[in-house]
Amino acid sequence: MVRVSVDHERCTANGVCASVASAWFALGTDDRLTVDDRPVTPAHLDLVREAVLLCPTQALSLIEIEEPSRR
Amino acid sequence: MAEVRASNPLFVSIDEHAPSGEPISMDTMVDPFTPLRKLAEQGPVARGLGSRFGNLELPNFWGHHEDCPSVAVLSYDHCLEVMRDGELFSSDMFAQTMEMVIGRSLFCMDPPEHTSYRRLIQAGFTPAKTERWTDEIIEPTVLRAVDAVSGKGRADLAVECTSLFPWEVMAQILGLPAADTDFVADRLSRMIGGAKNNPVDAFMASQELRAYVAEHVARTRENPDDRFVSALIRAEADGQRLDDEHLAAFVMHMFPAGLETTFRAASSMLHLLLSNPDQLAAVMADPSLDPAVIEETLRVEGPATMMPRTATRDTTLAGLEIKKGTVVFVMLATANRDPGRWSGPDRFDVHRPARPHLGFGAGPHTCIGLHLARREMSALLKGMRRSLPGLRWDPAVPVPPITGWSLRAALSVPAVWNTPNGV
Repeated sequence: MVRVSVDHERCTANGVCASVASAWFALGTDDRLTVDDRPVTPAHLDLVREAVLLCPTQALSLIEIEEPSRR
Repeated sequence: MAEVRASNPLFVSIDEHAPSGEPISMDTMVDPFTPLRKLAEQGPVARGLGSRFGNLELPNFWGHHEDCPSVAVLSYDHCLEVMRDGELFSSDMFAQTMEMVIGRSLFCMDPPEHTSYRRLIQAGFTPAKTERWTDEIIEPTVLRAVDAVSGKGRADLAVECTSLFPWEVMAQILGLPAADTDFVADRLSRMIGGAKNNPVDAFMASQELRAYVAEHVARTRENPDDRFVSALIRAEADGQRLDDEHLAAFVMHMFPAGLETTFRAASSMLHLLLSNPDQLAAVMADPSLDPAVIEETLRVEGPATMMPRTATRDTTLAGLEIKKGTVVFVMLATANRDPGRWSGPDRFDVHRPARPHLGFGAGPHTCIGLHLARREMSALLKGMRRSLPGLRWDPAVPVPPITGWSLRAALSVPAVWNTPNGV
């Protein structure tokens, strides 16, 4: 599983990620990016991956995380 | 109508010639996608010499040497790979062309110079900033442009609407005094329109415009307000600010980058809707389709069909060795119709699942005005729904095609619609 990590030093609020995958990324009125930091659900994975690739400042990355243990 | 067209700079620079001097054939102007797809059938990256790829001649408007090794990048994935790496694939060739006319701005810079400059300019273009323009400037201006023709029931919407509002929107964003707009429009017209036919006059006009823009920037610095130019003056990142020269060059950059492209995309959007009446009816009935209409337009008929880069060191792309200095044609037109990514890629279909396209480019040089362009197109759809009921092609005129080799547009959109008194 993966989750999204943001480098806020690099992010300049282009808003490309939010227009590609609005379920996962949102820019506030203060131009600060908010990212859903939960494991990316399979339904959103393709668009989140594309958003990461399309970030103009390469501020986004996907990190592998351990499968959360169930029960 | 011919006079309107002749006096509008956005219509003047439409003739396209191959580097050999031959005019581009009408077949290719209407459909560059078929010959490009033939090239793509040989692989995602094709080798050429200068602008020549077998029988196919790509444009050379940025002045590379015709004896220089070159590649055309044709698939979505490889175009994205090139555009993401602004260091390996340089934009420096624009320094010998566009920079001479408008000054040193983002388009001709590479990282790290580009990175810090873009960060400062970006402060004026975030989604939150462009959102503010929507209510104050974009919607009222675009809706006014649509309303100005609505009572007539018949118009060429490219001539009487989409070629007019991008300029009106930009003049307000830049805060140009109303008394100066005729002067600016005239110099702009000579600069864009004269580039081919009267280069000396075009250069003179560009220098007068640069001097005017420099004055406007200096004046704004003395009397700051809460508008765009003042926001750029105030922008600060890593202890750096924009100096007047960089700021003026960026404002000059906005004219070609923000006017012509918006006009082209907005006109092509109307053309695609009129040519697909079922989809037009669906969009007329359902505003929630607007984002899909805009993105699908930019995918199938984005204004720019290609972007040039130069390799700054030896590398490989799709397994092909590429030497330092190779000219790289990033073919957005084939990337956005990549059959591995979209089914029936030539079809305009607002109902297809959303997938990002490269209509605004990608990587560090991603169009900085993308939210502005989307909002202008969105306002046009709103105006169409509100003031142009029953919109359809003018049955008295043959449907003109979308044309262009390096830059595409519907340069004519003859339409009729219902008015209270009937057409």
